[in-house]
Order: sequence, then structure tokens, then C-alpha cells
Amino acid sequence: MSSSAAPSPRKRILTDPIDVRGRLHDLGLEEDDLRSVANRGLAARLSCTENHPLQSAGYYAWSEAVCAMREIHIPRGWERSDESNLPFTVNADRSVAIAIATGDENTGCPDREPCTKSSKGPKTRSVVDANVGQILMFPDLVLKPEHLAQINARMTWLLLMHFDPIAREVRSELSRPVSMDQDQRVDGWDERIILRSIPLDGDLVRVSPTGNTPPQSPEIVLEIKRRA
Amino acid sequence: MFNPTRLRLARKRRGHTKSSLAVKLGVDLRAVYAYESGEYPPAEDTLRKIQLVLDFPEAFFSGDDLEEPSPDTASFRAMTKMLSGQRDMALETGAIAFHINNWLESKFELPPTDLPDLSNEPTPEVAADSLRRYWGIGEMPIRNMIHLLEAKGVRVYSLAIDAREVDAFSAWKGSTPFVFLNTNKSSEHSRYDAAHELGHLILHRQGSPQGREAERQANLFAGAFLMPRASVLAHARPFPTLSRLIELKKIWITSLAALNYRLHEVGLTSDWVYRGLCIEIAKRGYRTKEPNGAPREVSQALLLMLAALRQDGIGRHKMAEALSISSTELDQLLFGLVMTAIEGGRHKPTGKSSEPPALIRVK
Repeated sequence: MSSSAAPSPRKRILTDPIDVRGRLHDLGLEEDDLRSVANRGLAARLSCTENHPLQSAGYYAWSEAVCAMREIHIPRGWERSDESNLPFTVNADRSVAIAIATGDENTGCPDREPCTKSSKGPKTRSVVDANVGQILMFPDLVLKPEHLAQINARMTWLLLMHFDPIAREVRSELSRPVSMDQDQRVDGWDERIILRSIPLDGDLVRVSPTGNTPPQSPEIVLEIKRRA
Repeated sequence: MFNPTRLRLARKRRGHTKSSLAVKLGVDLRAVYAYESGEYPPAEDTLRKIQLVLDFPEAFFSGDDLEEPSPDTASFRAMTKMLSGQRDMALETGAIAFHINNWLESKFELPPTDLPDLSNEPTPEVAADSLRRYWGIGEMPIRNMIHLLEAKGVRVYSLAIDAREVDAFSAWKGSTPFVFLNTNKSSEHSRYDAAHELGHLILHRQGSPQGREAERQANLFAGAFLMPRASVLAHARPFPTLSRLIELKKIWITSLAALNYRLHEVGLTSDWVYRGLCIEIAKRGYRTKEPNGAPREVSQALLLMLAALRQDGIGRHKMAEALSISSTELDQLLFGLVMTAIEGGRHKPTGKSSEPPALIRVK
């Protein structure tokens, strides 16, 4: 690891739905919104055919997810911010920034450490360093936007998405990066918020009369009276 | 007393032009004009021929004027493709349904009409949503479209016309809404037609818009009403296979094609996925023959009234007699909605020969 290592004891991995919701709430986010971002990315990926260049599926997915992230959050006061070719979505007081990245197969798996699929540039390096600095500054705190707003700083999160054709699902997590490897891929996280995965096809979700089928509208019993 | 308007009605009901009727009767075209304009009535033996050719009893031709749905208040599904003869047949079927309905309502009190005018809603989808909320059915799939319409005061009659172009139509008679359904279609198709007509009733009561735009709006309404967005988003997933769609359509009891369209409309499937499924559905012939068809919906109001009449000793023949129409005519307007299958080869419901017909027949 070339970056300053994050102090490992404080690493947090959230999987429990209530913890996930609470922590996302701290950041002004909702799980389903982030899942729909991943979902839009997925839809874009799957609209690529054999006629598309091989690399385009990943690029389309990423690009569409960035757009979805902004379309969903701008109405709630977030803004887009393009910094050195890295697209962020930033909250109103500029204390939280989110970027999108494709992750490896460990994405969304709480017991394994994910890493971004591709190498990142100097801008990513600088936000990772800023995240590390904030941990050193507030070693005992679960960082909230208001802490950062006070010191005019910004924490950066990555929404990692991984499309898994074998498990037939899309896994995603919102994680705060704190280190990069020699190939400039992000590989260490101070905090990971694991989102529920999105199944790819019905084979994973069964509709059965007893299971998933929603109740129908009530049975109607007409009243028809004879006239006198 | 011979009533010329009744002759015109009966002729159009059977799809005859004045000249084709003249040929059948072996009289001059001029004579048919005269009968219908009231210049002079047909001679006794000609009147008997008329009864035979048009299959209406003698008494029918001497009744009062019957109210007819007018072409500008009736909404047809495929007005542009329809021949005027087919439209007239449908309208006159409507006139006879009005006649039957008057008679039934003189004996029974039916549910009052509860259809809000939603023509000012910004989109058909919003209107569908508002109506669901107004009726308190939220996001639930509709168990039975005919029962729902009947409960909200819509009078539902069957339209046994053998024309692809006539799926269904709706009309207002004063403040009473009517829906006519072609009962030769699959259950899924019929439910969609019923929702489409409901769309016309609540969106286009004031008459405008007309034609293609009105049809487009009624289609959007039908899709959104049968498959509400949140319910679709709760159960469907973005990349369905065809077999998954066949499973899914059971939830909303809709055709494969309509479900595929709706998944795309709510943004669950991409253009690419949508088109791929369209091709697959067409290739397997599922457009004309619905896989895993649902059982046909049956009218509850008509069943209840026919059962009550039977208790009073009024069966189908007596009823037809009281209305001065043939029993066949009565069957065509009622029994398509009372039995799951109309007897006779060409009226078999499509695709479900294995389904036993429901044993509800009121004699």
C-alpha cells in the first residue's frame, strides 16, 4: 500500500438494514435511491450488444449511474460537480461528495475487501488522502456531515457497483475509501455500507400463490334490490 | 302501429343496408325508403318477411322509439379501422341493451353511478392513480374488472359481434354509463378492454378529444389502471425472461403484450429488452393465443337479476317476449357475460378449450 494506512480498529461494515438506513440517513441518503442508481447502470450495461465495442458495457453502466445519481439527488438539493475529470454528486453544504465506481467481485460482500476494477487518477488520490486526514483529526467519531461542515471539509464516498453474472445479481455498497494499491486502484475502506443486492431475473424471485403475490382488490358483493 | 324507427334500428343491428334489405325482401329500394321514412308501412306479408330476415318478432316493430347511443357520445376502440356498417351494428346493439336495461331497472335498483370526471388530470396515468385512490383500491391488482365496474354503477353488456375491429365501446345514457364488451376475446383482452372503456368514461365524458388521441389516452389509462406503477415496481424486475413474464402476468391478470409494454413504460425494462420480448411474444404466437389464460369474468349484476326473475317465474323466453325481441338477441347481450362460453363453434373463447365452462346458466 502506498497510501497512509487507515487505523484498522475503527473500520465499520454495516449490513443490518436498520444500521444501513440510519447511517445513510446521516448522509442524507436512502438505500432504495442508491439501489436504483445501480439499477440504471445495470440497465445501460445490458442494452449493449455484440455490436458495441467490448469496453463500452462498463463505461455505459458507469456513465448512466452517474447521471441517475444526479437526477435522483438534484431535486433534493444536491449538485453535480466535475473536478479534474472525476464526476461527483455533492450535498447542499458541500460536506459529502459521492463518486461512482465499478468494483471487483468482492463488492457487497461484508467478509471480503473489495477493490475498484480500474486504476484511478490523481483526483481520487487526493480525496482518499483527505478522507485519511479527517480520520486522524476525529479519531473517535463516526463522521457526520455536520462535523465536516464545521471545518469546511468534505468527505468522499464511492458507490461501488458489481455486476455478477454467476450469482445473477448486482451488488453495491457505499464506502469511504482510505487507501489505494500500487496500481492506483482503491483497495481500503474506513466504512462500508452494504446495500441489498438486485436480482437480475425472475429465476431468483418466485411468484407463488402463497409467497410473493400481492393481495387482490377485495371481492365485490353487489347489492341489487327489487323495486316495490 | 308500425314504427319506422324500429325497422331502421333492426336493419342496422343486422348489418343490412337499405338496398341489401330490399334484395332480401324482394322489394324495390324505394319501398324500404318509404317504410323507414314513415311514408307508408310494409304490407302484411312483407312485414312477416321482415321479421324473418331480421329475426325480430312482430311486436318489436310496433313499440315506441328506442333511445340509441349516438356516434359522437360512444367511444370505439378502433374507429379509424371500423366500417360504418360495423359501427351501426354496435350502436344498435347498444340501443337494444338500453331497452333491456330500462326494463331491468324498472324491476331492480342497481348501484348508483360513482364515476368522477377526471378529464382535468394532467395525464391518464395520474387519472388512473386518482381513481384508484378515490375507490380505495390503492395499488392492489383488480380481482374482477366487470364486478368493479358494476359496483360503481356502470351497466355492462356483451357485444356478440364477429368483427375484430369492434373490441368494446362505451356510452353515456343520460347520467348512466354503459360498457359493451366483446366476449369472444380472451379474458385478459377483455379486462384490458373494460379498463380502456373505463378510461373513456372518466376522461372523455365531455367528448373531447376524439379519435387517435382519445384512444391513446384510454390505452395509457388502461395500462396504468390494471398495472399500477408501484405495484409493478414492487414485483417485476428489470431483466425478465419470457417465462418470467408468463408468471408475472398472473398478478395483474393481463396479457403478455400489455405487461411487456407496461414494464417498459414504468422504466423497468430498456428499449432493447422491451423489443426483444415483443419479438419473442410474436414468434411464439402469444399475441393471438394468450398462454395460461385466466378464467373469463362473468357479470354479477345480470346473474343476480336473472336469478331473481327466475324465482318470479320469468325465464329467458318470457323475458324476451316482454321485451319483444328474440331469445337469441337476449342471449347475445346477456349470456356472454353470464356464461363463460357462448355455445356454438365460432364463439368459443380463444385459447382455453381445456377450461371447463362455468356451470352458470339461468334458464
